[in-house]
Amino acid sequence: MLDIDRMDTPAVALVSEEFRSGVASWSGLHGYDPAVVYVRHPIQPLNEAELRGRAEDIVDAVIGALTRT
Amino acid sequence: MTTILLDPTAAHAAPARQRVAGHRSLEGLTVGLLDIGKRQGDVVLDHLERLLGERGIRTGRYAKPTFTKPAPSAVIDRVTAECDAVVEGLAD
Amino acid sequence: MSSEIPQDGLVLVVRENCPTCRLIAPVAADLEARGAMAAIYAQDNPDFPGGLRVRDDRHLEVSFRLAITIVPTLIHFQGGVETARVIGWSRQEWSNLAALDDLGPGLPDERPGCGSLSEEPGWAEELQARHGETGLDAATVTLQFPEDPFEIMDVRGWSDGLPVVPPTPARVLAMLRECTLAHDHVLGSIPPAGVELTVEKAAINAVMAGCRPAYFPVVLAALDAALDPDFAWQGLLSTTMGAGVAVIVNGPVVRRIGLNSGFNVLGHGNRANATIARALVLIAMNVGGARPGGTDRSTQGHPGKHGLCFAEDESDPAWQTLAVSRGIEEGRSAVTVFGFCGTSIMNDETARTAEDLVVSLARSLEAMCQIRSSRRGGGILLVIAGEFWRIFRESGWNRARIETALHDATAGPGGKTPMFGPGDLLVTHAGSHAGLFSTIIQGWGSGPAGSQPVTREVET
Repeated sequence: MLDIDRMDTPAVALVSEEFRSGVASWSGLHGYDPAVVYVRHPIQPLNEAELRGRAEDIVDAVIGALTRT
Repeated sequence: MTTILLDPTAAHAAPARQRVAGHRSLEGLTVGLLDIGKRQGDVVLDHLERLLGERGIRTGRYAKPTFTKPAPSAVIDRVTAECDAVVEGLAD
Repeated sequence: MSSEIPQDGLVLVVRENCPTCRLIAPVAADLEARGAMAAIYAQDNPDFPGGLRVRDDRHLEVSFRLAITIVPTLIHFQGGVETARVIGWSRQEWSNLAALDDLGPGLPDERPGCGSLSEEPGWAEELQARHGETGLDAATVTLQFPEDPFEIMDVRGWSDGLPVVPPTPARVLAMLRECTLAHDHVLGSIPPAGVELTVEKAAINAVMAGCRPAYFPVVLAALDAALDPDFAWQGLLSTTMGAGVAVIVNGPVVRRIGLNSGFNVLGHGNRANATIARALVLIAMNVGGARPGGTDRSTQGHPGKHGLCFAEDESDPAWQTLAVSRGIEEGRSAVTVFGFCGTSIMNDETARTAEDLVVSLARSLEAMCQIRSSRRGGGILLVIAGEFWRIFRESGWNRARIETALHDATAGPGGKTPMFGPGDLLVTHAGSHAGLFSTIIQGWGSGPAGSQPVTREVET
């Protein structure tokens, strides 16, 4: 994320909501607060329809994160 | 009686960096979808790509060779050269 | 105050348990009687030489300030400046320095002295830290009695959960003496924070891990290996799978620092085994900022995350060592780092031949391959104990043949689904010589897309 931000390109990370504390910790270490959209856990065992649901859940938040000025 | 200890932690904190501002709108822009390589992440990005397309947003697909290591600079250079914004995922 | 060194005249530094110092005691008495002696400092017994006015230097501060390397040392001062010194006993030189004749009648003309106590290991670094410039960059934390350093270090989050050794300047200086690199030399960028790691910070954390200074070259080699991008240390420190670092050591350094390759080799009971990989864990935590529940997302972790270090059993010349198999010259010391997610012991108490062992080992290896996972295999470090190796050796097998046979036996029908890519199966040899066991150490990912083992020579 930091690499992309350094190129002046807005970016958003999709992260499992189980990793909120990891993002907080990473942000502290790097002095950088990335734009993150959290995705409902779990992801890996889901079927196709469930994964589509996850994408539908987040699409507006993703657009919102990339258009936040 | 005093005991002196040497600090084992990192000497300097990373300098704070302000996140780059987002765009006013994604209309007419290209969003790069960067797959970090975790299982099923590509499927979520497939659906996200379709949903963004339905909203008139152009997309491009990119991938890290492996989720276990940071993205090579060639991948970062390409996605930032070809796209106006990036979605990276999915970390779980 | 013993620290007020005379500005003019002769100053003598001695210790009683030095035969030369005892030999020249009458000369010291003669010089004092003639009014030539400004001060005598004793390092061990302030009543020696008996009957003289002796200053107590049992804290060795004066010896340190005067840079005494040998006792006796006789120094001449003029206006607070040293004009000359004589090390050991020499009638001629002592006479010249004192401008007196007839010193030490009946004594031999010359006699070398003994080492100064201020130069003893441990004391030298302690004196440097107390009275000299340490030259170190790290911030210091000063504790007042009765603050307990162990509790303070724990509260500050400097520990992995077990107590850590207080990193005093003296201990860190002693650690740094064991390497030729400057204390501010940068070893690399430590994940996950990407912070530069200096030799000094590595030494501080090695002290805390419990390493003896002699282990430091092994710690540095292991760090250099872990910082190789092929090892993917950042991934290992972040993964939900819970990965630790195993360090396998080969070569003469094993005997020199007392690493264990025998009984309970993967367990407790040996300081070198217990602390070398632990130093890497503390460095990743304290310098890199890797903390469980923070960027370390280990779902369960495993006991080996405290760090695993062991030596390969090199007692049988028929066994090609891991280091040699990975390109290190015979007779050199080396470390190999391996990222791992747990260990599992397997046994076969009925096997009589190499072929028998390959069947049971292959089944155990396959059992560790999760069929629901998206990837097969992942690297494996197989630790063959003494009796398994005996059976292989008696069957005329060597390392290469064992590896090839295990590759073939785990490749599925027709060899179409190989469990291991090239280099994904490491075989090593350690443990006692009784017991039909081996241990399978499960890697994390494998090949270029995962964590690959990395070998580095130990600079000594």
